[in-house]
Amino acid sequence: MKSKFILSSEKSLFLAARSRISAFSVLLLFSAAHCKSHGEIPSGPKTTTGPWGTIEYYEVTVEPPTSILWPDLFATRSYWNFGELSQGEILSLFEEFEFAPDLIEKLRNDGVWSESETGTEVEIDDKVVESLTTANRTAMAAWMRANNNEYFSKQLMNLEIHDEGLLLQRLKPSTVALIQTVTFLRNNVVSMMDRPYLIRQLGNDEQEKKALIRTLFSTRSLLARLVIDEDADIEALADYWSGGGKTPGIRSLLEGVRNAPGVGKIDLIHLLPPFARKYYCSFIQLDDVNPIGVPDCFWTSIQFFKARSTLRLLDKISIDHYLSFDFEEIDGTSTFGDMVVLFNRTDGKFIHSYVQIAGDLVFTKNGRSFARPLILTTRENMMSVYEEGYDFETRIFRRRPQT
Amino acid sequence: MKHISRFTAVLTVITTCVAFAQAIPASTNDDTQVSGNQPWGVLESYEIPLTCPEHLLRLVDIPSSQTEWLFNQPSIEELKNHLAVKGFSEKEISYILDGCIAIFDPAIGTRLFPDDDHVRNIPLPLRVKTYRLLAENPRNRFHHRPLFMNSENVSGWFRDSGLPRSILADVAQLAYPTPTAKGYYLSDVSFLLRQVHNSYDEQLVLRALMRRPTLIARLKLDATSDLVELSDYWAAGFKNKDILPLMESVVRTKQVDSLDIAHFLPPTPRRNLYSFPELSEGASGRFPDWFWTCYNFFRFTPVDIYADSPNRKAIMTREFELALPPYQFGDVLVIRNGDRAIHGCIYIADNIVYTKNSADIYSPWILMKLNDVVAYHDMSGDTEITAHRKRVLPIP
Repeated sequence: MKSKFILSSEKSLFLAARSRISAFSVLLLFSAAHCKSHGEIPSGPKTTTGPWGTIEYYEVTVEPPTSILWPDLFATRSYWNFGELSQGEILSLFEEFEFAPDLIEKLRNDGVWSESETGTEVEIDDKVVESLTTANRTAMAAWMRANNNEYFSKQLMNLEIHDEGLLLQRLKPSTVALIQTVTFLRNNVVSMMDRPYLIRQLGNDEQEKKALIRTLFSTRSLLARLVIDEDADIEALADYWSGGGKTPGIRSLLEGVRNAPGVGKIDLIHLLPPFARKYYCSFIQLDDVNPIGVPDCFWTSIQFFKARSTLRLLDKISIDHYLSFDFEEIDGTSTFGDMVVLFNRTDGKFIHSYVQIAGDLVFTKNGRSFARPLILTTRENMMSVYEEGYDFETRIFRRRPQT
Repeated sequence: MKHISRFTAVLTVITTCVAFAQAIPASTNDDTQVSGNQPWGVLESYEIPLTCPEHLLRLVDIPSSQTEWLFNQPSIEELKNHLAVKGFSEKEISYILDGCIAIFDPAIGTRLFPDDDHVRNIPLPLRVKTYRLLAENPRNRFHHRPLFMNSENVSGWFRDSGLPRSILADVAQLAYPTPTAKGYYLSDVSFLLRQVHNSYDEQLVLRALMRRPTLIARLKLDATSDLVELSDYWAAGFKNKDILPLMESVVRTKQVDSLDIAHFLPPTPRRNLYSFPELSEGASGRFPDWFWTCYNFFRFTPVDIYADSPNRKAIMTREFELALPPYQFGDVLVIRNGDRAIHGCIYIADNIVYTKNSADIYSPWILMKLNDVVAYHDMSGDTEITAHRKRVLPIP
């Protein structure tokens, strides 16, 4: 089923690129097929069973609250950054992206070129954005991912639209139409790089701008419950959910639920360590940042078992510095609380990290944006954004027991 | 024998319940409480016992198994006079003093050591009277802060604790009603420890006695839920508005019919709920108390401020305003004895509050019914509650 699905989406992408059908339309087609084949709109929650017991889980969509819609999200300057490449090299690159000749000429003659601290930039206007084909956008995104990750992670957005109809109802039809013109598929992920363009098009309609940002940053998460019946093996469950004794208080809660008739299940939020409980399905706040950096997936996963978050984790020191003292690398299967890190196989650079929860369920934060919450998700869903072009190795780190 | 007949009734209940529990599956004995449809929606709640974690239990300063009653008066005559002033009859004074070994220490007072029969058989009214007097001296540790049971169904209270029936019978005998007549206190921990004969059983008794009753509460949600009304209540006048997107999403999700209210708490109480303080939380010299818990309810990053902090009253005046019932989500409820604030907790919904009942590490952050919290803290039976609502600061 999986290979069939990929083939189907690749074919759709090919068709989209050639016929200028937007990726958004492709997504709608794909989603309808996907729902049908997987019987979506299920009658009950999904389950996973293993050493962690039996977990029921279901999907919700978390939108950023208006309190964290910082001005940066509404930036209106559209630009591309090509790092150390010269203007000439960039113009050649446009040919590789299959830009139309007249578009390349326009960029050569009318583009506003500059050198910033991070490299060569060209500012683009509405006409440039509107001239791009889906294939152009896809090619440029792939190049940025491989060659300018800073720009890529800052400008590229993945749209986690779960229920398109409902989310699109939040926006005016004209806004939805605009989104359709700038989205493209990266494997199974719908992406876009033109948020500033969309903001510009909305002019002074502040309400619609907020709705747009909240819609674009909608993030899928899971709510989950552990089933605890009267026959539950509390010893085994406590050992698993305490991370081998790192959060010993879990046991009394599990016992309490088992001993209280009628309860039957406990929300997974109560089985997470304090840090994760505080942030689960929620957002970072200004208290969490400093001028050095902002929380990301590494910040989220490395302090999973910490009693409280610390700005120390934003310091620009090597990952090994953090890992070598408190963690040990392990072979084999990851278990609750283990930090799983993806390193680029070629240069060893850090790509992504997450925390293993149970089975296919993981705890993570996607990217550095304030508008992305810390979530429980499936590994498959999380990894979907790394299917295109990444060559990574996975290493597992386990926090050493506190002495 | 009057005292025996009073608790014989309770003991009968115990026996009946134990027998009954063996006869029917536990799952049919459902303690679920469901509220009617209110501004907060429909809440279902379950009472669960929260046991002190083993690593904290190992830190317990286990009291001597010799029961000791400490009075400040350093001589027998002064003690008798003191008891008479406090309303004890001559007969009652004799009952208390007879059979006790006494040590008179000018530096401390009179230390009385009653034997087991004396402790077990003291008439209930006299036990209540005596223990309330002993409670005035903090050195009478378990009289000053007795264990609290919000039920007279002792077997139900200690369900699955592993306590032998003989201990349960002793607990039924020794428990005494709270001043509010809601629930029972138990002060005779030393007596109970004396009834066990090895360290394993000793730990069993301590673990059982240190259980804390709490509630798991779930908000019923479905497509018919009035999202506007629910949002209005749980957002607490925009102080907790960040929970709204999740609530909206859950209402839209057909697969779920209820959600644990932990998801509707602000980040700091969500982090702490059902947990005991980490030892690291005392690294700055203090562990969180009730005021720390209340003041930091809506704060993302907690501020170290305590019930005895000199600026507590000024902060309350500046950042909170007095409120009248009906209480709202996030209101600070202060239990007062005259001008003295003896405890505070946070109103959640349906008479359920978020509370930390003591500053020690054995006191977790939990959900309880408000009247249970009052019964736990009201040692004199004459308290009142004032509500304080956090002001909404103007948006710049």
